[in-house]
Amino acid sequence: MRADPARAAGQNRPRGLPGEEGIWVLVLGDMVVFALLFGAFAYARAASSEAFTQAQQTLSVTLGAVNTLLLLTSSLFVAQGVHAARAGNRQGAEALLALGWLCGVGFVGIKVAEYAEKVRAGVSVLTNEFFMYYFFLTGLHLVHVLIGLGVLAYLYRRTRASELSTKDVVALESGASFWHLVDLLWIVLFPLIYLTK
Amino acid sequence: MAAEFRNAVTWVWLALMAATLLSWALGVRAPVGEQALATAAVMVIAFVKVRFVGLYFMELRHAPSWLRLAFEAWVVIACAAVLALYGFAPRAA
Repeated sequence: MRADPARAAGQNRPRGLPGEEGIWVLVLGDMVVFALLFGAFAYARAASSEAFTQAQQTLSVTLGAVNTLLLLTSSLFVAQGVHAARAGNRQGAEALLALGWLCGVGFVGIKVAEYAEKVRAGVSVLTNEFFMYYFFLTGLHLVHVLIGLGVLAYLYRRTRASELSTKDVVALESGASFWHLVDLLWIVLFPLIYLTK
Repeated sequence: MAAEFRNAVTWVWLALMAATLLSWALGVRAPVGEQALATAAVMVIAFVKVRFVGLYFMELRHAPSWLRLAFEAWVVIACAAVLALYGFAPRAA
């Protein structure tokens, strides 16, 4: 099938619902689960303020911020990649997906380095309440990142494989939405864990 | 490739990057007396950022209104819940 640029009046936009319906059930559901976790942490943060602040001091705010900038940039690339695909620009879409994926890999690298430093220092999920939350929240998020990287890699290969059809664009929109979910969850997690007092 | 980036999404990205740097500064430099305020500020900024990711990156601006409303409702409710739980949690002695 020829690429069908879903452009309305010269603007690059999805027709109606971006992606498959199912992805939105997943995205919204995930957001609700994380909102509960955010709330639980916020409560604990305030209730054990000094203990949490002490533990928080051992985190690298710089690395957390860099990770936020990385995911934001990867989302930019992925969003532009979807636009490119919609416009029939397959090579552009491929390149942008690849760049988005690389930023995601950078995030994982930094996360692994952070965890390694903690492990070396003898800190684990059992160390105290703050670190229980830290490892659980960022670990759960990291699982989402890894799944997202798998999705982006699949979309990259699919985009390379053949001319883009409408179904391909829908798949790209779905995968991109999941990736933006990964981004937005970290946008809340970074200040929540690293910055709140 | 530069032409592909001349759109609203790129501007939103730039604003989100700037907001991240702002939050970083607020979080790290907040004077001891203003920490609760700084905490509230960085969390509100975070949820505003989330809203922009949803509207521009996830393209909810162009999505059916039920989906956009569900997303916006989450932003408001989650932000309010975080602030309320943080604000009303009994502080340890």
